[in-house]
Formats: sequence, C-alpha cells, structure tokens
Amino acid sequence: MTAHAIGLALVVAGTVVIAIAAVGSLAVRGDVFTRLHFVAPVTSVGGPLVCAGLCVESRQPWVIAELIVITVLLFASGPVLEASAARAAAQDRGLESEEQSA
Amino acid sequence: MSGYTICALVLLSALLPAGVAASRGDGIDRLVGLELVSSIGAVFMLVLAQVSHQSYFLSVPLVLVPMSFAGTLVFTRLLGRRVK
Repeated sequence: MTAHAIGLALVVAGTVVIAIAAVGSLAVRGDVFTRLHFVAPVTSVGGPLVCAGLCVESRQPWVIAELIVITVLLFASGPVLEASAARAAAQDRGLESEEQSA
Repeated sequence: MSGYTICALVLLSALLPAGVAASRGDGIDRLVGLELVSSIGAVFMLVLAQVSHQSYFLSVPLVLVPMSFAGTLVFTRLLGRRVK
C-alpha cells in the first residue's frame, strides 16, 4: 500500500468522523450536554486522523512540523473548551453555582 | 476529482449543520455550535492546503485554532456568569 493510499484512507476516516459528528450535533436538540459529546470526536479523533493522513502524504519536513503543531493545539484545546462550555452550561441552568466552580 | 477534493467538499458541507447549530437555541447552545464550526473549519483548511498544494495555507489553521480557543474561553466565562 502506497503512502498516498494510506494518507487518503486516514483523511477519509477523519472526514467521516467529522461529518457524523456535525450531523449528530444538529440532530440532538435541547440538551447542550448531549450536544457537547458530538464536539469531542472532531478535536480528539477526526482532526488528528486528518492530520496524520496529511503528514503521511506530505514529504516536506516543515509542512509535517506545522501539521503536528496544529494537531497538538487542536487536540489539547478541545477537551478544555468542552469542559468550560459544560461548566458554563451548568452555571447557566443553575446546576452549579459560581462559588462551587471557583 | 481527487479523493482529497471530495474530503474537502464533505468537510465544507459539514460546516452547514454546524453553522445551523451555531445559530439556534440559547447562548450556550450557540457556543457549542461555534466550537464545532471553528474545529471543522480548521480541519477543512488543512485539507484545502493539500488540495491546492499551497503549504502556506496552513498558517490559517495555525492561527485559527489558538484564536478560537481564546475566544471560546471568553464566551464561556461571560455566559457562565450571566445574570438572569
């Protein structure tokens, strides 16, 4: 299997995950906590899969380094944003007071 | 049409339901949609750089990811404190 085929397969897998997550987030209405579960796969699975595929496909070291930096940033920032959004939703709905979160 | 072009088109169309999610509901619901839009947008630009064979396109997601991270954190802080 060539590098092109491996890279394309990884990018296709990541794209499918992201497309399912996007449609799923629209299908879930009302509950923000359930909707947050559809954001996580984009940053934790889909993005890294696409970046891995592009790293396999690319042959320039500088491009690979840039892709790795973007992936690390996306992968690290995703859970933080989801946790903070969940906390804001809990405060907004009265499930958690601001003093508890401090 | 190459496989990467099809993936870019799928990601572009995945922005549509994410954009709809970002424009419905209350503030927190729209914030979750905004998170989704920025994440999918960053990945779309990665694939777009591969499709167009222009590696300098990668600078856009490199800036977009930290900026959307900071922006979303500010929004969560403001929305969590909201006085009813």
